[in-house]
Formats: sequence, C-alpha cells, structure tokens
Amino acid sequence: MRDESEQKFEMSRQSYKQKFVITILIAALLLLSFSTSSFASYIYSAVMRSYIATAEGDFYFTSDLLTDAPTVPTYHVTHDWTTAATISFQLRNYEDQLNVSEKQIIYNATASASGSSVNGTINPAGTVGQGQAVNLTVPVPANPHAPLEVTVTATSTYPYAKTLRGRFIISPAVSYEVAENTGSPVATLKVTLAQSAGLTRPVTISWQAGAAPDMTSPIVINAASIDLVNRTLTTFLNTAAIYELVFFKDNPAGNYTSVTATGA
Amino acid sequence: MKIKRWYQYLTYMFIVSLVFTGVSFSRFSSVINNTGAENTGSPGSPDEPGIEFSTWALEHQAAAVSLENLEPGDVKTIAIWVKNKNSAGTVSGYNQKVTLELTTTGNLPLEFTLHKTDGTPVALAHPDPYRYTSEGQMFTANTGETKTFVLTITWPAGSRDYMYANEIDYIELKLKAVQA
Repeated sequence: MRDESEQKFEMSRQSYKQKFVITILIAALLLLSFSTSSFASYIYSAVMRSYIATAEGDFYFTSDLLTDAPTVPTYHVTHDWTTAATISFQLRNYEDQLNVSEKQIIYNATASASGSSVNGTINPAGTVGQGQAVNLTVPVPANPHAPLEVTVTATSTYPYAKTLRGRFIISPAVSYEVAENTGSPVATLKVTLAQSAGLTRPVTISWQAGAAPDMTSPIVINAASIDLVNRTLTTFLNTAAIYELVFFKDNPAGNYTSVTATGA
Repeated sequence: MKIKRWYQYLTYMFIVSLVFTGVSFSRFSSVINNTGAENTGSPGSPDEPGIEFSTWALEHQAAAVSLENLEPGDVKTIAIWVKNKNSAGTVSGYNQKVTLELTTTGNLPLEFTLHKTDGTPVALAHPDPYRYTSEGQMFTANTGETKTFVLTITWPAGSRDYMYANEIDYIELKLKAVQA
C-alpha cells in the first residue's frame, strides 16, 4: 500500500518537472520572437553620381571587293605570269552617303600567302566619303601553270579595328580542263587564255594515245605545226578567249583526260 | 487546474522578460552627457541638464566628368571625397565603414581603378562583370576626417573592336556606410 503511494508521488513529481521545462521553453520562444527585431545598425547608402559614357561613333571602313562578312567572297582572275600580278581594290571610309566616318582611319592591307603589303590612311572630308585605291603585287609563283589562291586582308588599326577579306584565285594565262566524258564518244578540251598585252599567244596541245583531235577545228587547221605521230600541235590563239577542241575517243566507255595545253 | 497553469505561464514569462528585456542586441549607441546640476531649477532655465545625443553624419561628392566620345586608349579620372561630418561641422558620433560601389552595363570594355589622392591604391573587388566594390574605408567616431579618392576609367588601347562604335555605357557610383 505504501509502495503504491510512493509510486504515485514519483509519477506526479516527474509530470511536474516536464510541465516546468515545457513552460520555460514556451516562454523562451515567445521572448525570442520579440527580441529578433533588435539586430540592427545604422546603414546609409546613396547614389553619388551617374555617368553616361559614349564611344566615338560614325566609324565606317568598307571596300568594293573585300568584306567583313563571315563568308569571304571569292574572285576568279587570270593573269599572264610573264610579270607579277597586281590585285587592285578600293578602301573607303563610308558605307553610303549618309554614313561617313568623321575621323581619320589608319589601315594596312596584305596579300597572303605571297604578295606585298601597304599601310595607309583615309582622311575625312566633311560629309563626303573618301575612297583610296590599293594595289597589291603578287610575285610570279614557282608553278605559274597552276591556279594561285591569294587572300587579301585589309585591317583598320585606328580608331577601331575592323578586318575586311577577299579571296582571289589567279589562274595562269593558259589554263585548260577536259570535261567528264565517261560513256561519251568524244572528250572536250576547254582552253582559257587570260587577258594579255599581246593579242595572240602560242599554245602547245599534247594528247596521249586513245583519242584523236577534230581535224576540222580551226585550232588544228590554223596550227603552226602538227605532229600526229607524237600527238602534239602548236597554234596561235587569241588572248582573253576560250577555245574548245573535241577529241574522238577509241573507247567511249573510258574517261579520257590525258590532254595538256601549255603556253609555248 | 488549467487556468492555474496559464497563470503559471504568464508568471514565468513576466519574470523572464524582466531579466532579459534590459539586454539589447542593437548596435545603436548614444552618449548622453549630463553637464548641468541635477534636480535644480525649472525646465528651460540655464540650470537644466544639457543632454547631447550622438549624431550620424556623412557627406560625399563625386566630380562631374564628361565621358562622351571615348576612344580606345582614353583615360578619364573622377575626383571623390567622403567626410564624416556634416555641413554644420558636426562630426559623426559613430564609427563608420564606408564602401564605394560602381555598377556598369558593361557595354564598353572600360577598366576601373581606385586610389587615394596620395597615390595609395584602394582594392576594388569585381564580384561580377557589372559591379566593382572598394575595400571598406574606416571613419572613427568623433574624429573629423575627409577622405579623397580618384577613380580612373581606362579604355584599353587593345580593345578596338569596331562593334564598340556608337555604344553607350551607363555607370553609377554609389556609396554605402555601415555603423562599425
């Protein structure tokens, strides 16, 4: 009987302790909820001043042949490699009549993989745009019979940097190609002669066994010399002209390509 | 029984509040100086106790500089001063930590450096491409001081892309002072 009484007393004591702890915790939480607003200090912020910065504008650097477009324009030209070739273009300080550079433009232009380079300036002239002719010299290549690819780059260095590019493929004075002729009884040779100071140029055409030239062609008829045994002829052809000569094939099924045309 | 328990809660809260409400986490502080005799004279009389409260004071200025028609290679400077006293000459009664902040749109490739007028460089943090923040400059309470700086704006000569032509940048110079 006594033990039961002691147990009840002990249980009551523990219950009282728990209530006391819970009460304290609730009171502390309430107190903290009121005290959080006191974490502060003086803070002052202000805009001291604002500025508008503008860059020098009205900059235009253009060309008649070169461009800054991602796709570089390609120009096919022919040249008689008896002398160095000259690539001519214009650099301008305007885009159109309403968009003209107000400041001097300093530039350099180069031709690569081989060629000369120049430095220059384009001075402003009021509201009128200025253009400057630029000539770059390309020396005679080691193999004048093969097309030469030259990339021309013009870069402005002041006031801003802008790069213009153009690709020039310089074909030799005498170039030729034989069209695909598989399955055809004839093969067609196309000879291209570049513009030159002389009106005519001697050209030697040679062909391998397996075909014979069209004997009615003016190229053959007017040939200065012809050797059907060794399959070669030399003739004078006009410059700045394109000629075609047909070869009759022994075997139409094959692709006959063994023809050459060179400047004599 | 339940009402008694709630009375106990309120009593505990009251006691705990009495203990803690005197404690403040605030960093505001004021010095009150009683320079006169206490409990003498009537209000408004010369014998009234003179009570002085601390003053928060800060003044600043950044020079107006034209940043128009900038070109690659251009350098511009902006003079700045900050002082911990007001126009009436009252010195701030609080320690202050002053930070200069600069925001830019980043449209132009401008570079910013800050130094004191004696040439001492002031570190400028660059947390993101559009913001520069100086290291804190300390002002001591009740010690009048004027700090002068020069902000240098540089357009690197190597950044000449023609896409910058006709471009506009908006630059804002801010100041932030915190009670130290």
